[in-house]
Amino acid sequence: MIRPDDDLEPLARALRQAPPPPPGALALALDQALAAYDALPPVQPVPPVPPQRPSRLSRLWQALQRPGGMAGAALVAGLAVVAIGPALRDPPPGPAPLSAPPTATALPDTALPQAAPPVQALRKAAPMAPDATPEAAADMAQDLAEAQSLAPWQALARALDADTAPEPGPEPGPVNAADLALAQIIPPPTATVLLPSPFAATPVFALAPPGLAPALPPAATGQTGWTLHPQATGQPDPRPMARFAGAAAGVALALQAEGFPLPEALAFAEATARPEDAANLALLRRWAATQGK
Amino acid sequence: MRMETPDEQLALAAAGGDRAAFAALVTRHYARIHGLGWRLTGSVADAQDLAQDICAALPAKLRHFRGEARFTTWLYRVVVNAAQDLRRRQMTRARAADGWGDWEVGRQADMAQSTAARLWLEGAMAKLPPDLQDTVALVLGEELTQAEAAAVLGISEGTIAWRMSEVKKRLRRIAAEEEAP
Repeated sequence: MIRPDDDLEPLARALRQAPPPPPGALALALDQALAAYDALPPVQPVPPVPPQRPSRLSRLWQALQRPGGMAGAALVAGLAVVAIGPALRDPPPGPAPLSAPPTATALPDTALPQAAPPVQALRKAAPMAPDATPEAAADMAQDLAEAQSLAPWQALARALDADTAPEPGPEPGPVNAADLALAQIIPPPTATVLLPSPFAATPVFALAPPGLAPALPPAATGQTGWTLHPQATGQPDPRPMARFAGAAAGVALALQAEGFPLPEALAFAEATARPEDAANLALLRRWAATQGK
Repeated sequence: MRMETPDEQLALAAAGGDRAAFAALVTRHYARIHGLGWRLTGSVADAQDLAQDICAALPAKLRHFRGEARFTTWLYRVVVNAAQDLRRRQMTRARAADGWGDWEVGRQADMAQSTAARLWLEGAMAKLPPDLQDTVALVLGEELTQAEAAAVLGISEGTIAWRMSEVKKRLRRIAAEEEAP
């Protein structure tokens, strides 16, 4: 328990004098709760999870724990050093080639190095053709970008994320150009803002400064979180825009609370709202009109 | 026997279909839900609505309780989320007349119970933004540690410490304004 200091003491004292629930409130709430409890479908037994094979690392660790395990590992390491040691030494003195020999251009394409990170990324950007050549993958990523009016980095980020990011709930709708344009103008927030969604199936939405994306493991929240400014790239993630189109009003308010100018927050809400949010938007506009007077 | 059973055990039993365990859990924690609801909204009526809504939604929510956090931490999170949803709905509907947001209207309605302390509390809370209200309700009202409050709100302990320091600054400002001629 925190002992409040003088400044906080009056507030603490007042807050601790919570009025008791009115008589009969518990009985009423309990009735409703039990009715809801009875209305739930029965719990399905969870099938037992098959035991997993130990990972390579854990098997290695267990092997090292056995008698002689460490000595064996040391012997293997020693042999490895002897075997590859010469290759690790400095090359003998002599004239070093300053550029690739002209014969290299005559080598077949398959002999050229293909592991450059951008090429790998472009391969992933075209998951529909995993066996495509790097050039073809680049072309397909470019086509994808042009077809959807996205900048190449946006198409790339989208395709990469689609491969690796968890997908809580239903697939978000397609990200349109307006969402992306608005994502670009939203400045990185100065503090983390978490928005629990008003919809049960949608995730927690987080606005976080670059590098401070909050950890929202499913175990902690029961939901997976999205961050507008992912830690890795510092670029806005457009997917929450589509995901939260239905909660546009709430997002707009949160952006406004974060210090984001209200007109832009409203524009964002209007651009991302679904038709069924029309009434909410109208109320939001009315509320916004009262601000700053 | 139920009175001695830990919350977590009751919650897991309730999630597994034990009706009596569920009833015991609601009975044990109703006052806590109501109290935090009042601290978060500043309105007895809202606290009562909130507590009833939460109790009715609890059976479905309990299905997701895995016992990975203390039950009270999990429950506080449910109440804070429900209060935030309520605030959002009220703001979206431009009904600024509820909760701490318009304490003057509440004060008129609750004149019978409005002591000087209550008025001061309402005034002070109304001047705090929602995130600070949540933090104050948990740390000062529920007497949670900063680590516990951080777990409930899903933020770092450092943010809780910063928020409490901010609350202190604002209260000093309020006090200075009150003392000014």
